Amino acid sequence: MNPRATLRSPAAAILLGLLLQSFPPVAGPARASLGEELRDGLSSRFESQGFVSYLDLRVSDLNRNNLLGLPRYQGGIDLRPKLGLDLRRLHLAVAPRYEGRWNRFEEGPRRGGSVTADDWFLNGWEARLEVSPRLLASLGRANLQWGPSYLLSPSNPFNRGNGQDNPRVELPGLDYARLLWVPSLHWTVSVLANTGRGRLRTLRPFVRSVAMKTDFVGNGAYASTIVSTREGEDTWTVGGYGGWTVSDAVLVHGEAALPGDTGRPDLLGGGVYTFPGGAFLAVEVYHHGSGCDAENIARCFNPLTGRSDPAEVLFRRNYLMLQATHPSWRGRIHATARWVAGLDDGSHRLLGIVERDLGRRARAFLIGDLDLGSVRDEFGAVASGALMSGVSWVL
Amino acid sequence: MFDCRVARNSLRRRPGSSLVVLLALAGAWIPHANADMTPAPAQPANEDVAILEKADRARGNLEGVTWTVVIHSEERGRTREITVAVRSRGYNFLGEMLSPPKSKGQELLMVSGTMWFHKPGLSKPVPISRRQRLMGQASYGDIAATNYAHEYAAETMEDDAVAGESCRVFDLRARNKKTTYDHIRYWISKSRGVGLRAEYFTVSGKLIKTALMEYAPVRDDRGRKRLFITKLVITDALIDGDVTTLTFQTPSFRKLPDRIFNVALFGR
Repeated sequence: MNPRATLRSPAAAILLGLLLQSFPPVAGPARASLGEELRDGLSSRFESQGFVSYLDLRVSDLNRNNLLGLPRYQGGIDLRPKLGLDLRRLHLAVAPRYEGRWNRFEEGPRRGGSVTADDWFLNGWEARLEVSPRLLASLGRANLQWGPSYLLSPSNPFNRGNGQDNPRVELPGLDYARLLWVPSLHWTVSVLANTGRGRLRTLRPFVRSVAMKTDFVGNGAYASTIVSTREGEDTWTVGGYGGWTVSDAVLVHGEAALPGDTGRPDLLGGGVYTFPGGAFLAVEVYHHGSGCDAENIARCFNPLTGRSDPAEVLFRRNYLMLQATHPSWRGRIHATARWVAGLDDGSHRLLGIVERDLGRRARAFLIGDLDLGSVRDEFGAVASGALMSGVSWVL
Repeated sequence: MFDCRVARNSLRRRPGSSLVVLLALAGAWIPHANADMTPAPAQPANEDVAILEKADRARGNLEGVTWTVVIHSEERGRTREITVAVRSRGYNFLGEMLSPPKSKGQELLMVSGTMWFHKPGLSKPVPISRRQRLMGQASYGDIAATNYAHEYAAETMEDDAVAGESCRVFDLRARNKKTTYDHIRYWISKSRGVGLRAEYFTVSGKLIKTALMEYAPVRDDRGRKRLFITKLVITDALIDGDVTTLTFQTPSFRKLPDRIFNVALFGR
């Protein structure tokens, strides 16, 4: 391969040349040419999906006259390519996105109307430099998630939602700068700065934050601590998580956070049992220290009576979750059933996710949830259920 | 021609009710939970341990090896095939699915006895149990190095032969609960020092699957010739016709840095 053929911009070529000059190839018995290095370092994945969905909206204090603007029917096409390049000490990745949507409204001001819209955007990118074999620095946009929890990640100061309710809906990427020090196989220390809201949409204004994360892994166990603060605040939040491989079948985990401003801890504990065929059962309990205890969930979001942030995941105080998953039933079906119980208001959510392989490149999926609660409860205040079905295809 | 007295009766078809037991133990061959770097942790030095260590090295227990594993499974009349790129150091490994296209980008990381799985669309890596299976009779651990020398207590049995090659036979019993297999019988070639055959048993002593291994000479990073595994054929002892074949291709030997096995970088 001719390396010049891959460099269309002279500026890019000069920049790349300077970088390569700074970071010579790894010593080895046979050095590859630059063209070969570029060819070998390139990676790509092109995924697309099409879907239709139905939302059984309710009329409630929380969404009176469909103020939230939610469509009853939706159809969509998503293009989700990801391109990467590993070149010597440099790692580059980019994840552009296309979303095409058709929305049909049966409630609210747009009742009886349909709207189509499309959007191109960048949900993720990363430029990572290996400063030394043990020190890496990166800039980019990502949905930075960690920890073993299924329901949500209370120790994550940037975004607690982990998207496990619907793996077909991509979580928004936020802008980060990161410094990663790897002193050994067992220890990692990261300094993370959340520099921009990226694709995250919240009602509250965005505030930059910084965190220091220390990770340990060893002896069949792992543990992490996270200390974080937000710009303009003089309090710190301390969080952490850990897990232990008890046996070949049993894993246990825990996660916690103690916000410096409220002093009310968030605690999560859980375990997973894997059956002989590969199916597993997970259980979690979660206590949200500053969760809302108003009788009507709508009061939790009223600036005068509550302080819940719609960008959060769960708003009450105590939850129980049970999940059963078979990752490969008959070698072609992935199935998950989840039950989440809101222990404070007695509402429940039932969730089912089924994916079936269609040949080597495609999968069909069906995702449904049922909210069993009144319009004053957490699960039931906006909708009584939803259904999404579609096909994904990988080039 | 396969010839071994020890396993003479072990390949008979078992009743279907034993399937549960089969599944319970499928997914072993997992590396030692406490051993994560080469050289392997110190153990009482004796001849048996040295023989097992040498056999482990031929199956990947090195300072760094990269290979591609093609896994072909015949299960209940259905044929499937996947390809995984594996980077391994000691008993830690990083595996990345290359094909089929719908699975491309799925990754598995094992560090110090903890396993994480990630696939495109998942927002974060999730810890998984060692019981999870990769495909067919192959567990995730089958694409990694073995650590029979330190994960199991070995008892020497009567010598035997595999395909006419004289072997020492070891009866291996798990030292801790974290190994999925409680009990393995392992044939190691006297002349070549590599494992040629293994039988895996349930706690109650039922044979659930057998494996046959093949090796070929390769040159390591220092130019030395060594034997390295090329093929692993796993046969279900309970269901006739179910066979999973792992073909280990293009091994490349080079020390791998810690960051390769770092969970903070995994899946990103």
